[in-house]
Amino acid sequence: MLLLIFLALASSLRIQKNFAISNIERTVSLTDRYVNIQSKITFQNDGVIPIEKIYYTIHNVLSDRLYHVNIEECNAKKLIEDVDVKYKQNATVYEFTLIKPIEPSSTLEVELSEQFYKRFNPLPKEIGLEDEQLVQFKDSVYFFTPYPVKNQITYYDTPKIISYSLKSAIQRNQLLEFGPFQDVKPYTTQIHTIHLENNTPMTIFTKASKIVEVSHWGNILIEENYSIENQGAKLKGEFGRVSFNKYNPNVGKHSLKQLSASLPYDSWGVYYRDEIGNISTSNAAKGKLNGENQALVQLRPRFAIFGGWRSNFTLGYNLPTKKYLEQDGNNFRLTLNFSFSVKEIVSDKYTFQISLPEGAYDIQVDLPLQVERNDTLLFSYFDTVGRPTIILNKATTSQFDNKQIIITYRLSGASILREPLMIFGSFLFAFLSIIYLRRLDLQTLKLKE
Amino acid sequence: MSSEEETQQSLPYKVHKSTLKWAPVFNMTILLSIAIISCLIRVFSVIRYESIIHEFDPWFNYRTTQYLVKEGPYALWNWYDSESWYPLGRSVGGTVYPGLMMTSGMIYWVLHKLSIPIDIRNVCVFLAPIFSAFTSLAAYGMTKEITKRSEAGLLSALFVAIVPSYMSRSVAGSYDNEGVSIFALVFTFYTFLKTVNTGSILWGVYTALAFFYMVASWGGYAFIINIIPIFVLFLLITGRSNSRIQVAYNVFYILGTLLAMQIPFVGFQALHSSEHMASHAVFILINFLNFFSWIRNFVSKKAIITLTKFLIVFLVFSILVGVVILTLAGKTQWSGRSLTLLDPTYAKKYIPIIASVSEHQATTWSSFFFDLHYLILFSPVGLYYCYNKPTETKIFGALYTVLGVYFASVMVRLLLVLAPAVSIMAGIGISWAFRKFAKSVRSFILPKIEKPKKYRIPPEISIIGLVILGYYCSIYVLHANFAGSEAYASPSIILSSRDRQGNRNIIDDYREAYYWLRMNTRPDDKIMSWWDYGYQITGMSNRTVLVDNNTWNNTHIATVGMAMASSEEDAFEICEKLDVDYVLVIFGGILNYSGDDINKFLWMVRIGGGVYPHIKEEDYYGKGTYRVDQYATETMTNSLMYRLSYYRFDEVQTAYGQPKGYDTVRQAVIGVKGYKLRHFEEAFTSENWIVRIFKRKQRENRDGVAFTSKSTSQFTIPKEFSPVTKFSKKANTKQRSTLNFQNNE
Repeated sequence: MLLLIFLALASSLRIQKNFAISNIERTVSLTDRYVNIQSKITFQNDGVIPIEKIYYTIHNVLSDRLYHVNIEECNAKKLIEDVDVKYKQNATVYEFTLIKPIEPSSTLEVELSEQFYKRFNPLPKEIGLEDEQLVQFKDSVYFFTPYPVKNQITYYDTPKIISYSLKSAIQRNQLLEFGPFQDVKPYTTQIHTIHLENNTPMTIFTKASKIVEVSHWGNILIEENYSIENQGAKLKGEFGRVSFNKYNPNVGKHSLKQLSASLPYDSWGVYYRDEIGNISTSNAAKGKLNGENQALVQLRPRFAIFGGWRSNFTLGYNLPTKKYLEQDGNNFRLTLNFSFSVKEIVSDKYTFQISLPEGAYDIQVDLPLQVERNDTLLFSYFDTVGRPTIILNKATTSQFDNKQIIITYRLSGASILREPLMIFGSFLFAFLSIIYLRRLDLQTLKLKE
Repeated sequence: MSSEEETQQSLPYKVHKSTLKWAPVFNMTILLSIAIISCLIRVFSVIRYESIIHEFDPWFNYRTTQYLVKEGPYALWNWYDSESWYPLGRSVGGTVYPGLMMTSGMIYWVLHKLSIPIDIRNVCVFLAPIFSAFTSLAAYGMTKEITKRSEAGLLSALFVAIVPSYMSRSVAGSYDNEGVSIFALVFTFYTFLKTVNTGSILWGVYTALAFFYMVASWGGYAFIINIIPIFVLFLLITGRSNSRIQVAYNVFYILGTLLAMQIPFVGFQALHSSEHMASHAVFILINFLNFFSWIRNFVSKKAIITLTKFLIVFLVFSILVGVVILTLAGKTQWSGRSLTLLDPTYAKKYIPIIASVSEHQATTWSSFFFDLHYLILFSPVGLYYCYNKPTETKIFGALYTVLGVYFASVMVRLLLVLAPAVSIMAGIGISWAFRKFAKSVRSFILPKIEKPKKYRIPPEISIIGLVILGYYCSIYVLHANFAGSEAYASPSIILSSRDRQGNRNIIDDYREAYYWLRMNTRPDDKIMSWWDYGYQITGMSNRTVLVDNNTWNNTHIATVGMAMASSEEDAFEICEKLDVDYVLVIFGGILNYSGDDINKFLWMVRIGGGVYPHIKEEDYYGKGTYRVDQYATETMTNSLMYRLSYYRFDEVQTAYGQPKGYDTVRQAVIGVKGYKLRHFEEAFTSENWIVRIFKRKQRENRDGVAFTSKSTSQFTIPKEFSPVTKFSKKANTKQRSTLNFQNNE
């Protein structure tokens, strides 16, 4: 009985009658390593109550490859549990709250943007050094939604199409046009595939982490560790340095040769290395990116990363505290970006670790994201009781998760002096004891001269 | 006020007085700055490149230290390393001098206990510079024991601190045994001389402990265990022996030998190896003579003389016979390297693997001058001073120098042992000359203090002499500075070049390829390369290698040499038997990098041929010389090394105005072009082609062998009955007739 009530409460997806999508126009971009879908959706409310919430559903086959979803005209996104949808449709539901409700007998056009990774399957699975990378893309012909759709059309933007399974599609230059389809019922799916050429390296970070150490002496040390993997078509046959070199940019197009990271403008002491030392192929410059002052770092891996290859690297830098740490008496407020600096790539697993100065207490973390939090103590230079350390773990992480993380804590003014005094004291003790021991006469027998 | 008092109050006297007052402070300050300088001059490599482990052997030491820090000292004793010498493995605990690793492990643990969580890599990188500071302090002490003069000690300390020969092995990142053991060497000598001077048993114990540290850290301890007996013998022969010498030697010998046996790698060798024989003999001799002189108190003078003669002859004879018998019976053996020291041509004749190492070559004059510079000119002055008014310690210094010169001439590497001796002698010599000159100048300025003497150098000449000596000393300092900042700063795994604009370019091919191996091969893949790169591959790529720089198994190295020198087909068979997955070769033909495998290839042939006689060196000489061009022999161009190094090389233009396939190192166009590899494929080549990695292909389906599975190989089917012969004619004619048998099943 209780369970039933619980289920009834949990199932919160309610679709009003006479509320439907009158028109949807989707543009699926297949030109990059990740898939970006922009949809223009017109909702039509023919019912009697204003609609405040709209629902976005994603099939569970794709839900963990969706690294970002957003609707412009909405101000809140929530993952909700709907038993019906979850088990009947095998889908996950997001609830979006509209800024302005859709009044009865009116329409609203919203823009939905979805970002996916790991959507391309290399086919053939192995290619030679000079071959083009062909990939297969699977999608549903119809927009997967809990609402009935009156009219829909989908464009696939791709540079070079090899083949596609839906015969009714029309090809116009770069665009492949699916539809228009009329009066599609909710949750209708029909799988189709497109075989296309995509030479961007299908790289992801299998693991990334950002480790922050805050010092009240003026420095924030940040170290980011990355494990990169190219999940594109594997390299078949010989490597061939004869053709793959800097003079032949067209050979090995599907390998990752360069990455870029954007660091805060006031970062300094940047280093780029791995387990065996510096990677001597990088450049850094300060400049403007997207209207923001940033320090841009061009990173080249030790070797170009072909399909199936892996590499690890570390990017570290320092920030001055005065810009990121606000003080109000004994209260401190630290503002940092959550995500990592290599923004073009999505990470499967991500760990954000921050160590506050020794003796910090009343620690509060404010992060507008769902993360798993673990706290621990870290022992660094001259630490005796350990630095309070917060570890935040998140699965799929991308630049869209680059929210500001605000950490507030309290720290007494004296604790900043503890470590210097400790060092001072131990040296004093050492010198005093040497002076004392030098004057100590331990000779038991006085030998005559 | 008298005129005398007035002159005493004048400026030069005041200066003189206060200088004398502050002399100890000056002394300590100068010594401290020398120690700091010796550290700093070695840090150039980190500034110019980065904090990284250099060269070859340090990578093994580094890896062992990592293991030690991670697993603890007991695990290190029992460590059986399966990543090297595949498939044999290597018992690291029993075949390593652990002093270096234990030292950095201790530093690491102590710092971590003090909550300074420093990275073990940085401990290893900066260990040698820190120990060089200790070395200069020890050299100060040793020189002071020899001459009893601080100024000689200070000069020696300065010379040792920056002598290029020592610097070559102790720049930051050069994490090798020599880095700590040169300190141990000088410190042992210092404590020994202190014992000789004082006759104190306590200092004798210190000597033994210092010697123990030396034994723990370097095989070069054999130098100490021989030079001290030689010194004692010399004193015995010249009749300068006394009770202090006896105390010093007995304490050193007994404790030192016992302690040396505690190192597993030395163990009972301390008793029966030939390197230690001299110490046993001198121990017997000195105690016997002592016993004899005690007996003398009770016997008549005439009898004594006969007895002496008889006993000395008997003793010398029996010791000689004993050594000869033991050597012939094989109870005691000279190691190859020691024999090379006694007979410089030995290695060339019998052990090519020792001869192939560049640091085992005989020293050239240029390296003498580059590594010791003006010290060679200064040190005879010190030697003269030592022989002029000999004391025991001066004799020791002189003996050390003379023996060091001999050893250094035999092997480049042993310049390192000579360097402290020469520095100390030069310090003594220069300070002696300085003193003479300064005295004459002082007597000119301060006639009241310096007592007038009959013979004295005129002050004008003294000043000129001082200026000249100062000039030469400063030239030496400049040279040392150059050596530290340019010549010896390169880590050798990172190369650098300058382009026409003068910009420095880093060539990082080694790490590019090693890291590729680390990330993109399976963890249990086996890499075959020449032994030079073994330590680097295990250290940086974390993969299993067949041979490495610990050249303990000549046969195994010869097998690798044979594989490299064999044709592709034969090499494939060998590689398959040895489970080799990748073959790594170093190739410098594009970048004019001369230290590559083609240049080392003759040594592979020689070492391989030493065990496998079908590899003959002359087969690799075309028209009488070693060459790679069109006149190269077929054996040469068919060898795996040639095939892998030059694979697809004929498709690139390397130098302006030269045809494609022009090797910039050998300065010749390669002889064979456009060939394909059958059993290997290029897996990776670094950006400048320095490292080329080839994957061994799996045997082609039923390639060459008809019955590979056990169940079918029990039956031998005569060829004429084989149903396959018909099909095989249609099939690939290159394949043997029985190939397609399984298709019919």
